[in-house]
Amino acid sequence: MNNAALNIEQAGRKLRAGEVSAVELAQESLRTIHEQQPRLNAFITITGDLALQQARQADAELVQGLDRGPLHGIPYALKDVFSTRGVRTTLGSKIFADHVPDHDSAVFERLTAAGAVLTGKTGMQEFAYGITCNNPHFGAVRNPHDPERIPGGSSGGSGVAVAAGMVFFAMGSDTGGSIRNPAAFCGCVGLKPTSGRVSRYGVMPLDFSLDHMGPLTRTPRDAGLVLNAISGADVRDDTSSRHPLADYVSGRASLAGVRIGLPENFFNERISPEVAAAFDAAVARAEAAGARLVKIRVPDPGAINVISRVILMSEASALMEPYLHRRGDFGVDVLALFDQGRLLSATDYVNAQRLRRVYQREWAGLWNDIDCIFTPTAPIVAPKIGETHVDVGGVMEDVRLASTRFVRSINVLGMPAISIPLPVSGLPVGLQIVGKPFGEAELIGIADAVASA
Amino acid sequence: MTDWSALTRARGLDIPADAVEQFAPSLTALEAAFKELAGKLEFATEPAVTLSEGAVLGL
Repeated sequence: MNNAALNIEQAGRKLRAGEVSAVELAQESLRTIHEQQPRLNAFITITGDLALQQARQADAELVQGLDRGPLHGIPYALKDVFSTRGVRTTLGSKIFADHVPDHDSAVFERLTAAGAVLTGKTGMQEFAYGITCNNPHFGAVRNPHDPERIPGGSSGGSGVAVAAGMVFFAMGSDTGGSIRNPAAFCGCVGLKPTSGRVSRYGVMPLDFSLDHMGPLTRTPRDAGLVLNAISGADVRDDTSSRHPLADYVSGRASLAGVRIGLPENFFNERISPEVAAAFDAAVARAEAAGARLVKIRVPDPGAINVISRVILMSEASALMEPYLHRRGDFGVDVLALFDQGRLLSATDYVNAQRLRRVYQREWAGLWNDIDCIFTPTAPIVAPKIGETHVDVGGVMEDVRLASTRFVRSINVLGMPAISIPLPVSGLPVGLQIVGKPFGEAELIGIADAVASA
Repeated sequence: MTDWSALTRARGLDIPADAVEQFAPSLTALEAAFKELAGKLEFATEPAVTLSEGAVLGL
C-alpha cells in the first residue's frame, strides 16, 4: 500500500472494503516518516506507539460496526503547537522543548473523536514566527522537491509531511500565511478557515487575534473533510463563532458562472515569471471552464500588511515578555522580532486594531460583485535555505516579507482562503483563492473545480 | 522619527545596542508607514478586537 498515491476518500473506501486496515495505513505512514526524516526533518516528535494504538482501536471499531466517519483510521500529523496531553508540545522552541501539556487542544480532541490516527508532531518555525523553518533548535525542515530549499512556514513540517506522502493530512496554524505558504512551496493544499470557525483552545499561541487553525491536505475535498471534523463553536475559545456550520464538501464542483475577482492592484505586482505564468494559465483554465472574470481593485493590502505587522509584533511580544530575558534560548531571527514588538507603543497597537476594522468594512463591499478572489499564494517559489533576500521583478526583497506579501492581509481581514497547487514542471506554485466570510463550502467547491479543470 | 536606542534605554529593556542598530531601519520604516495610516483614522472608529461576551461573563 502506497499511502502517497491516495487521498482521504480513497483510503477510506479501501479501509471499508477491507482492502487495507487502519494498522496497515499507520504502519506505512510511520515507515515513510522514519525513512524520510533524515532527509527532510519534517517531525519533531513521532508518536508511533500512540498511532498504532489508535489504529488498532479504529480497526476494532469498524469490526464492531462503529464508523466515526471519513477520518476514521486515517493517519495524520499535528503541527507542534497543538497541545497533546502527555506528548511534548514544543512550539519549535528551546523555551518549551520539554513542555508536556496536561490537556488536549480542541482540534486534537475533535480529530480523535473522528477516529483519526496521530503519527506525530511536525517541525516548524520557532514560535511559528516566520516562514523559513530553519529552526536553530530542531534543525532545518527541508522541501521535498529540493532539500536545499525551505518548505515555507511556519507550518513547514506539516506541508512536507503531506507533500512527501507521510500522512494524509496535517494540521497547521496560520497567523500571516503559515498554512498557505508551506502549501504553496511544498505543492499541497492549505486551508485557512474564517476567523472563529475552528477553535484555538489548547493551541500554543503566537498572536491572539491573528492565529487561525486549518488543514494541509492533498486535495481541496480532503480539506473539507477535515474541516467538517474540526469546525464548530467552543466556549473555551472567546473568538469561537456560533455562525451556522455547513457540509464543507457540499460546495459546487463546477466553475460555470462563478464570478472570480482578479485584482488589478497589489496582487499583480512584482511576481516572478514562473509564478506569473502558472497563475495566468490557471485563470485561463477557469475562464474556459465557464467562470466569469471580474477585474477589481482591492482596498490597500499593502496598508493591511503594515497593520498586520504592528498587531503581530505587539501581541507576540506581550505573550513572550516573561521569557525574553533568556536571550540565549531564542533564535536570532525571532528574537529580533520579539525585541521590535517591545518597542511599539500601546496607542499604535490600539490604532492598528481600529484600522483593521476600517479595512474589514471596506473589503466587505467587494462580495456584492464576486464569489471569490484569485491571487498567487506567493510571488516567488521556495527560496534556498539561508537566503535572506530574493530578487522579485528587479527588486531585492526580504524573503519573509516577499513570501507572505499576498497572504498576510487575509488574516487581518479574517476571511477564509485556500492555496492549491498549480500544474508546473519546476518547483511548486500555489494559487490562493479567497472566499466570503464563513463561505468555506463554496470556497472548497471552487478550489475543487479549479483543481479538476 | 523615534530614536530606538534611546527608547530601549529609557524603558530599561535588555536589548543589546548592536541588536537595536540592526533592526532599527526596519522598525523606522514600519513606524513611518503606520503613522501615515493612523493619521487617517476617524475619531470614533472602534477597534476590531473588543471585550468579548465570555470575558464579561468571567469565562
